Amino acid sequence: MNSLCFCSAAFGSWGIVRLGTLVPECKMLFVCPYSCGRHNSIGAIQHGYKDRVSYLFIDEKDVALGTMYDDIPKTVHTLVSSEPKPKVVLIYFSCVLYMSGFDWDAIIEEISQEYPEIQFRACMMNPVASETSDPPVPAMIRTLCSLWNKDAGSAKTVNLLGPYSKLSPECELYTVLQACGAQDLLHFTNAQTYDDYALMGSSMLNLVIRPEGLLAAKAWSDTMNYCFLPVSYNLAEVSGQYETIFEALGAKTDLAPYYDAVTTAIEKARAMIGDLPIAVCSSATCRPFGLAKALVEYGFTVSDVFSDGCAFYDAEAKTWLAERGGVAFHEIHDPSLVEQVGHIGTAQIAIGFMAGYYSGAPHVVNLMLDEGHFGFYGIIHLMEMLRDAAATQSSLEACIERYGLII
Amino acid sequence: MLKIAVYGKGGIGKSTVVSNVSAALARQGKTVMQIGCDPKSDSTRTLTGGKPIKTVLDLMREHKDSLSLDDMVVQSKSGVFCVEAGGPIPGTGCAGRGIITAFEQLESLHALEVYKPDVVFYDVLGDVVCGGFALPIRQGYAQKVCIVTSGEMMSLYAANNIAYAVKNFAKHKYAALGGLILNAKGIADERALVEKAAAEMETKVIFELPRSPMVQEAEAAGMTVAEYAPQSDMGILFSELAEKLTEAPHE
Repeated sequence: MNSLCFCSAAFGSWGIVRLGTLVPECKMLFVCPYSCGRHNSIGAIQHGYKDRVSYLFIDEKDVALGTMYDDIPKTVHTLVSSEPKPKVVLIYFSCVLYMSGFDWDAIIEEISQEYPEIQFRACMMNPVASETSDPPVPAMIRTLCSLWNKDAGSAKTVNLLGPYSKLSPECELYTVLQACGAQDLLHFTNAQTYDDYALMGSSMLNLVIRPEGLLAAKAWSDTMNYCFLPVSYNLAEVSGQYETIFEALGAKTDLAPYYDAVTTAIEKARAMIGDLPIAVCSSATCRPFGLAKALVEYGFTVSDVFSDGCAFYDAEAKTWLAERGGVAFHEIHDPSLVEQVGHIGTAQIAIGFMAGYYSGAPHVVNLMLDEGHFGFYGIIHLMEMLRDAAATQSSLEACIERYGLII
Repeated sequence: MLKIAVYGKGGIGKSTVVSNVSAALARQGKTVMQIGCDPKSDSTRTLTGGKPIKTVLDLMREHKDSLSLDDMVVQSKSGVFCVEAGGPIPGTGCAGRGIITAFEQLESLHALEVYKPDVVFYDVLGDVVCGGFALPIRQGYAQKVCIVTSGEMMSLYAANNIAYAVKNFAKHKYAALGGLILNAKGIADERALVEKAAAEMETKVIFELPRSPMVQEAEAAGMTVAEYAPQSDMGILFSELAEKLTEAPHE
């Protein structure tokens, strides 16, 4: 994006520091200029982790003189001496240090030697790297997974990677995995202690259902297989994804019982919504074009797709929609959108905050980052969300505020 | 794979020494990669017949989304794989950060895994002026650092500063100081001066290259001495230095 861009008020996600809260018994130190710390501090209050994050403020002189090499170990000493004693310390380095060639590995090595009982990791607060092969969020998840214990033995568990929250307990994936011999589906949020968290290193498979988890799965691929199966709302694709899981686990189970519930859910939503036009966006799902295609195939009317580029696994659906026609594509950073915000397209129902913001649709499906969704359950629950949204007028502002998107 | 970073004061002859050593090693049958780490992008010039090659950063500017190793790695006639990191537009940006970005680009394309060099030389601009230019010393890059110097005071000051940086990094098990290469300027008592300075830096002079018109003569012909006159005195010396650098144990 080397030209004028527009940034929507509905743009955002979990921040890098907030992701660190997924590790139990962990304290976080953010080495940054004051303003970055202030911004993060407000987010920490909103999301309830202010007690876990501390700051070491740096200024221009510190960068020029390299004084952080002395200041960070001293600050870490204060941090680890205070109660509760952490088992993990994540040290976040802001853009200014990332850009200046700061040697964070040396710092981590030095303090790791001083406190061998604590795990230290360097984390990059470097949104300038968003367009590289090592973008901040996937890199952060890789860092979180580097805290798993490589020597924890082997367990018949499967790790869920990509989403920041676990799947809904109603999702059939739990039952399917158990039927295939897996003992449990582990997510970061399952663990109450760091020792439990580290046991994820003993799992037999990383199941990556959103792209954010892909770098981590690749980093573990020498010792742990992974399947990349980005959340889909297409019935045929879901079946195909389960076949991939069966192959990875060397076992399978009958999926037939789940189809009826999906068909029923689609029919009920279709009957209620009729031909009301729907807008889809990339803040709701990692496959906005795939979701639009699935909805069209189910008989819904999709008017608009709002997206931030198009992922390789979503390209086929985009081509299908383009060839079929009838759906308008909008690049969310396109500055020409600014004049029309709230009136773009004809949607009456928006799936996701971004679609709601741009379209001004009176009904908004409160779905962010495919949260809780996978497999047949993902389709069924989305259909329920569509019906709920159609039945009520939504306040997009309240939805965004409730999610804590804007800080 | 042996990875060696060569530092030294600007204009001291680092690129000439490294290019000749690279070409000499290539003649000995070794696979060699030389990575120029200087925004001037002239490290590999004598290897490529005086023709400049596209730098990694230039290529990133031109073809942001479709870069390949073939674009940025040029094989010289002598067989050396030549790379120039390049730099930002002169007077803008950050040269040190440019080195980091170029190295990251080469890594993302798995340059060392693809070309599998026996020896990699990082030919780094004048001094360890910032984190970016210190990168070749860090973990995963060079195993040893050699400093090219003459007996001139400014050159020895620069050498001392580089040696200090290397020692400062030593506690992290980064590159070790491999010694000084005396590229003589013909000043009085030059060897003794440099040996004294080396002792103060707690290292030693590992090789001496005398001043010779053969180097300029070869350069005028668009070649390294190793190609132009391999059996000349200088050609033999560069060959011996190549063996010394690749065989000598780390300090």
